[in-house]
Amino acid sequence: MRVSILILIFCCMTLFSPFSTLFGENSCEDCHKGKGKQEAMSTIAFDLQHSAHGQEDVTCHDCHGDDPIVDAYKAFKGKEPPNIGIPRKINISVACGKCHDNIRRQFSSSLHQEKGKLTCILCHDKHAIKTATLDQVTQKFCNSQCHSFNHTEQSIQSLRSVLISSDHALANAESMRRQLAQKDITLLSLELQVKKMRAAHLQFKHQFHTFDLSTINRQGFHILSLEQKIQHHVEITEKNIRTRRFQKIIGILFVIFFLICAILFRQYAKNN
Amino acid sequence: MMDWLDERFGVRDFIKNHLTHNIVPSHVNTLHYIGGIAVLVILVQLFTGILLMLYYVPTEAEAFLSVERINNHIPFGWLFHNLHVVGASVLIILIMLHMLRVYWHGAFKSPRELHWLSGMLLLLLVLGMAFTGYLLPWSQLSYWASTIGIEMIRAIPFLGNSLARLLRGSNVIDGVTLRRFYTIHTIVLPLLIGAVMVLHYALKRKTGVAPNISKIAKLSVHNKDNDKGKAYFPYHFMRHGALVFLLLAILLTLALMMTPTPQTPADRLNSTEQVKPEWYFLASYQLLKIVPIDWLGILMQVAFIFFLFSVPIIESKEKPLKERRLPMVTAGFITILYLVLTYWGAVS
Repeated sequence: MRVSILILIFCCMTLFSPFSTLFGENSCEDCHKGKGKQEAMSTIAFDLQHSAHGQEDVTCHDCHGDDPIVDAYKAFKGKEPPNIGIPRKINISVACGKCHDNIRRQFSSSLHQEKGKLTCILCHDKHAIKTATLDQVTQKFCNSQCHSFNHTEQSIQSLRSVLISSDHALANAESMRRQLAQKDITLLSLELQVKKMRAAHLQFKHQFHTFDLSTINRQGFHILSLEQKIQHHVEITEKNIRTRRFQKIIGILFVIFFLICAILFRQYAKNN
Repeated sequence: MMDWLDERFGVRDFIKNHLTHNIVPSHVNTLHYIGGIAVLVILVQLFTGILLMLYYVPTEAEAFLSVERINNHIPFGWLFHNLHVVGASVLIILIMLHMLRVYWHGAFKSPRELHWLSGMLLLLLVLGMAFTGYLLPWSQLSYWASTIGIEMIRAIPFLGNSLARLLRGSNVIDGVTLRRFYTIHTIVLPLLIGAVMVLHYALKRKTGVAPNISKIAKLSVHNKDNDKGKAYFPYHFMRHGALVFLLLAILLTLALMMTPTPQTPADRLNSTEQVKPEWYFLASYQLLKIVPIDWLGILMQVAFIFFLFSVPIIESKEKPLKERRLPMVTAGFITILYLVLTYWGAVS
C-alpha cells in the first residue's frame, strides 16, 4: 500500500513540473551559480542551447541525472539515487552512449577506452558539443592528452590524410550533384549514390572512434571509390547531354531522308 | 541466286501472287493504306521495344533507375524511348482511323465479318499493350495511373476483384505486378498481336478489298474479276511506301520534339500528385467519374465493346452509302462522344 502511494506521488511529481529548466523559475541556475572554480551556469546554458544537443532538447538531467532537492528524488531516499552529478570519467562514454550507442560501441573497442584517459568530451566538448576538427588530430594534441601513449608522426599523418581526403571526396560529390541540378538534371541514381556516400562518410566518422588505423583506412578508401563512381556517373551524364545535340542532328537528317524518300516514292507512283 | 531461292522458297510465285500480279481495285485510295501503315508502327514498336529491353530491368528497385539510365546514359536511348512512347499513341490513333474507314466503307459485312472481329481484337490487344507498358517506367505517374486502371477493372461486377488480383499478383501494385505487366507486355500480348495480325491479313487476302461504296449495287462481293485495277507493285507499293516514309518522318519528328516531364520514382505511400490515365483511356475514366455507380459505368463500357463486336451482325445487309444514314450518324455520334469525354477527362 505504502509503495503504491509512493509511486502515485512520484508520478504526480513527474507530471507536474518537478524538474528544473535551464533558465527561469526552478532552473538549474537557481542553485548552480558557478561560484569559485565552477563555470558560470549562464555560459553552460548558452553553450548547450546553441549546440546540437540544445536543438534536440537535451537538458542537464539527461547527463547529470535528477535534481536531488525535488520531492521526486527524495521519494527514492535510501535507494540508488537518480542523481549523477558530475559523471565520472569512466562513465562519460556510457552517458553519451545512451543516445550514441553505435559510437560508444566503436569507442569501447578502442585502445583509448582501455587506457581510460580519453573521454568523449575531450574532442567534442562538455556542453558546446562540437564536431571534432582536424586540429585535434595532431601529434601535439594527442600526446598532450595521453603522455604514456607515444603516437608516431606517421600514424597521425595517415589519419589526417584519410580524414582530409574523405571530407574532400564527399564535398566534391555534393558539388558535382549540385552542378548537375543547376542544369536542371536531377537523377535518382546519382541522388542514391550521393546518399550512399553520405552514409559511408557517417559510418567512417563513427569508425574513427575505434582509432584502428586499418579500419579507418579501409573505410576511407571505400569513400574514395564511391566518389570515383559518382564522378564516372556525372561524366557519362554530361557527355550524353553534350552529344544529345549531335544525336538530334542525326535524327533530323533521318527525318529529311525519310521525307525525300516519301516524295520520290510518290513521284514514282504518279509517273506510273 | 533467284533460281536458287525460287527452287527452295517459291520466291517467284510469291512475288507474282502478292506484288506484280496482285490486282488492286481502282477505288483503293490513300485511306485504304492506314491499316498497312499501322503495321509499320507495330514494327517500330517491336524494334524500339527490343532495344529498350536490352537495358530495362523489371524489378521494383531497378525499373526507374534503368529507365533513367536509358534516357541519360545510353547513346540514342532517349530517342528510342521517346519513339516507343510516341509510337503507342500514334498506333492507337491509326487503328481507330482504320476502323472508322472500314466502317464507312462497310468493309465488315459478309464475308468480311471476321476482319472486323479480328480488328476489334487487335485494338483491345494494343490497348492492353499500352496499359501494361505504362506501368513499366515505375514512376509516380505510371504507378498511380496504373492504380486507377486496375481500380477500373475492379469495378467490373462479379469478376472485377479476381481480375484485379490476377493482374496485381498481390494486394497492392508492387514488384510482382511489375513482373506480370512486363511479361504480358513483352511476351504474351506481342505473340497474340502477331497471331491475330497474321489472321487479319490472311482473311484480307482471301476475301480481297471491299467493293466501292458508291457502286455497291453494281459490283459483286468478290470484285476482283469485275474491276480492272492496277497491280500492287509498283503503283500501290510506291504510294504505300511514300506514306510509310512520311509516317516515319512524323514519328521521328515527334520523338525529337518530345520533352518528357521529370518523373519521380513510384511511392505507394504518396498519392498526392494529380494523376490521370493516358489520353486513350481518358474517355473511359471520365465516364466512370460522371456515372454515379461504378459498376454501371463499367457495364456501359463492356456493353459498348460488345456492341462494337456485334456490328457485323447488326448491320449485315449490303447497302449503298445513301441508305446507311442511321448507322453513319450513330458512328459519328460515338466518335464525337469519345472525343468530348476524352477532352472532358483531360481538363477536369
